[in-house]
This record gives sequence, structure tokens and C-alpha cells, in this order.
Amino acid sequence: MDFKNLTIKTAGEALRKKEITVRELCDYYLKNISEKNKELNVFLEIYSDLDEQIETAQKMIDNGEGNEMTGIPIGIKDNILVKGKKSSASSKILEDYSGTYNSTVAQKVIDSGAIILGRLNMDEFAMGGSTENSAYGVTKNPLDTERVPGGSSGGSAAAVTADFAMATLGSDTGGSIRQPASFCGVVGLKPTYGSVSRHGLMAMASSLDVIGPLTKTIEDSEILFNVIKGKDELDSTSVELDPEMNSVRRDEVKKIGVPKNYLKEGIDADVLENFEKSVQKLKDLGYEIVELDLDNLKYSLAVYYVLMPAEVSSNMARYDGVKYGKSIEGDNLAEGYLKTRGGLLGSEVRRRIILGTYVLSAGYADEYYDKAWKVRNLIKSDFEKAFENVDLIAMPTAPTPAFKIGEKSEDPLQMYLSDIFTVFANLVGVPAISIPDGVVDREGKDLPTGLQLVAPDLGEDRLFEVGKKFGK
Amino acid sequence: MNKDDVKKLADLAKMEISDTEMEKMATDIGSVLGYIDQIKDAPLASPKSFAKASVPDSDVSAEKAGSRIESSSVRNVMIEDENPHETGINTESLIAETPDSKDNYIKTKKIL
Repeated sequence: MDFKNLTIKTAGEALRKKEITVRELCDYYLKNISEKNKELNVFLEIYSDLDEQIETAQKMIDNGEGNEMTGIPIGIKDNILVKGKKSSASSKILEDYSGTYNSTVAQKVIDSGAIILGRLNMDEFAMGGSTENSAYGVTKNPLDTERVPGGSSGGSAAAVTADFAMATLGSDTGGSIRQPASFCGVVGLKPTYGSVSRHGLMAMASSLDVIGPLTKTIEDSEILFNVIKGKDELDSTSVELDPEMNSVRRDEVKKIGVPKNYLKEGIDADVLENFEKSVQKLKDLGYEIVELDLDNLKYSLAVYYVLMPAEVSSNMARYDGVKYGKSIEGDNLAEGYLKTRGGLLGSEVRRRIILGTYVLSAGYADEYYDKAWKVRNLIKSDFEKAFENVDLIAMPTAPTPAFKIGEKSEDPLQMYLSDIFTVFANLVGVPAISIPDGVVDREGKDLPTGLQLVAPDLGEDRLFEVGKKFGK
Repeated sequence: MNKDDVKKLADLAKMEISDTEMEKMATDIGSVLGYIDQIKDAPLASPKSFAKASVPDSDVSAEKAGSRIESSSVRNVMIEDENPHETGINTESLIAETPDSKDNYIKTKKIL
């Protein structure tokens, strides 16, 4: 059996036809991990209960139970709780923390009989675009080990590329699934805000966060999304997925919009060239390409860097060294807070807390936070208008291919600019997918680029439908 | 933004930050704020650009609120406080994650 080219779909078929066993499939990935994880630093931990997980899954298959995820080995980002397993969000402060309950997504994949191999490296508390902010060292891009895998779900993307897992789960607050998917040449889906429960996901920016799959193919993305999605009583922002809400069904996708004005600067010439080829390919597939004026899209990154840190500063207040996690003792309670938070939170996390505290402080909240919310609504209404005329929007995922380790880590603004084409989807709430669409040459190495397709709320079906046609 | 501003903010956020880091942070955050300032140019004449998130709509039931995506006008969704689980079933695992505890209580330094 050629394990390398298996997908969730084909492996699932092989498992159900008894051509392979769950153990054989897991052993393939575990062998790759044991050979290369030390160099790439993708998995932070391989779980110790794999034997039991494998046995349960094999029994389900033998009894004809389960679904397409049964027996499929996956990895999970280190900010998604699994009961009784360590979950550190790649931070020092939660180094020894174990989940006291299962996140809803973990429960769903466990119920389906998928094998959770272990937890994956990330930027600390999902804050970063390169996985360089992990307290446990950078993850290396498997396609060029001098380069970053992107972030913050860098481990989740690299695991799929390095064949350490069939698929993985990541989280996306401003591009954290799509940008690493683009850098590592895999498929990454940021689902509609609220379509996947965040119960048990460590909160970063609650009006933006969403969990989604990273996979080899669009088909696999659809399979894993269908397993994790759905309204959850334990997440009050989760929504009912009513297909009737889609005014245009997926087989009626005709027009694809391209915001050309937004792509004039800040993007590498050859990345733009790949995007233009992809647009031509969509045209050749029969879609009508429409030029869009999304005038306020240019404010999205600025809006994001007000609202996200504001929410971060509130969400991170829970790490006080009292309730859970590590603590550094002070002479009194207040000093304990200062030492714990100053000493155990990483520098990017501290920077965002300070920035968030600033934009929320009296005298500045009107100027920054309130204004940013208003502009966010303006951008949202621009997209609502755009989707009256087009069925999908196409954009590049990232302005560059994977950059070098250390290249941007000293300059936060440069790092933040790598989110320039992704943050709007989180601000608006709409689903977006990154699909590998070619390579560009950097110092003799072929590095992948990504095509980003964006649909209206709950339009994931459209992304899968057009994505599958595009991928062929 | 200067070092003193960062110092004040760090006090508010209860974080001890070294002098060197405060210098660097002032520069970094200054450049990010320079970028952010462009939101002031955004045209806000549109009638749809209503104010921020906290506009709870009291007459909207939980089902209704959940049936549409309203990421820009988030509403509170309440659930009934009923059918509690058995008291104490999570105590041990939660206490196990605290830095310091005694007799199933979280232990802190004296507050007053």
C-alpha cells in the first residue's frame, strides 16, 4: 500500500475494505514522526494512549460502525483541549496544564473514531504568523527548513506536509489556518464564524476565533469540516447550519469577484502572477470573473490590529497564576500577578496585551476601539453588497511565500503585514479556504502559494465545489 | 508612545516588564499605532455603520439570535440555569490544575 498518497477518503475506503488496518496506518505516520520530528519540531507530544485509540477505532470499523473519519490519524493544535492531555498553547505559563474536559471538536473527532496522535506546535496562544513565538522553539517548514511554516497553526500545516498526520485541526483568528496552509502547500479552511463550536478552544479574540481543518485535499477538508461543524449549546456564538439560508446553491455558482484594486501593492510580483494564472484557470472553467471595488478592504488590517489586541488583553486577564497554570510567587498578591504575567507570558503576548490595554483605555477607546468597530461594520456591509453580485470572491492567501526564520521576528509590523489578505474574513465572519495554486522560486527552491476563495456566510459548500473543480 | 506610557499600561495590565523591553515595546507599538491611524480616514457616512457590538436585543430569543450570523452585532444568548450536575464531580480535576491549594480550596496570598 502506498501510504504517502492516501487521503482521508481513500484511506477510509481501504480501512473499510480491510486492505489496511488502523495500526498500519498509524505506524506509517509514527515512523515519519520518529525520523523527522526532532528536526522539524512539529509535534510537541505524541499521546501515550494510541494503543487504546487504535483498538477502539479498529473495532468500530470491524463492526461496520463509524464514519469517514474512523481510524484516520490526525493531530490537534495545542490550544484545543483534550481531556486529561497536556494543552499548553505553546506557552510557558500553561506548560504543565492538562485539559479538564474535552473541547467539542475533540469530542466529535473522538466519537467518530479518529485517532488523535498528539498536539502540535503553534505561536504562543495563537499570536503570530510564523510559529516563531512558541515557547518550545520554531517549527521548520518541511519544504525548506530555513523557512517558517507560517502561523499561528504552523505545526498543524507542517504536519500535513511532512506526512506526520493525515489531517489536522487548527484555529484561525486573522489567517492562522490559511496562511500556514499557503506556506506549506496544503488546503486550509477557515469556516464561517460560529459554524464550529469553540467550546474548549483557548480564547484569543472571541469575535474572530474559529476552528478549522488542514488537509491534503478539498475533499478531505469537507469530510473533516462536516464532522466538527454544528451548533453547540456550550458555545453561545455557534449557529444553526441551515442550508436554506444560502440564497444561491453551490451548483449555481457563476460569478467570481476579484478585488483588483486591493492587489496593487504589498504583494510579491511572482505571487501575484500565480494568482492571475489561477483567475484565468477559473475563467477557463467557465466562471465569469467580475472586478470588485471593495474600497474599505484596505482598512481591514488596521481594524484587526485594534480589535484583536483589545480582545486579547481581556481574554488574557485569566492567566493570573492563581486559578491554573504556573505561578511565580511575590511578597503579596499583586506582586505575584506582576511577576507571573511578566515572567511567564511571551514577548509577543505581552506586546499585544499592552497594545490592547492602550486602545481600550479612557481617552483612546473612542478614537481606536469604537472607531474600529464602526469600520468593521463598514467592511462587512461592503461584502454584503459584493455578494449580491458575485457568488464567490477570489484573492491570494498571502502576499509572499514562506519567509526565512528570523526574517521578520524583530519587526512586528512587517510580521503583521503578512495577514493583509486574510484578516478581513475574520472581521466579516465569512468562510474562506486556501488552496495550493502553484510555486514560486526562492533561492533555487520551489515554494508554494495559495489561492483564497471566499464565500458568503455558511457558503462552505461553494468553496468545496469550486475548489474541487479548480484542483483538478 | 514612550517608555512611561508603556510603564503605565503594564501596571494596568499587571505585568512586570524590564526597562529594555519597555524601550523596544514603545518603538514597536508606536509603529503599529502609526499604521492603525489610517482607520481615521475611513468614510463613516454610511447609515449601516452603527456603533459597536454591545447592542443586546432583549426581545430576541435564543433560537432567533442563533439562527443568523451577526458577527457585527453580537447578542447575549442566555440559557436556563437548570439541571445542575452533581456537586463536586469536577472539583478534584480543577483543583489539580491550580498552582496552590489546600483542602480543595485555591490558596492565594493574603488579600487585605
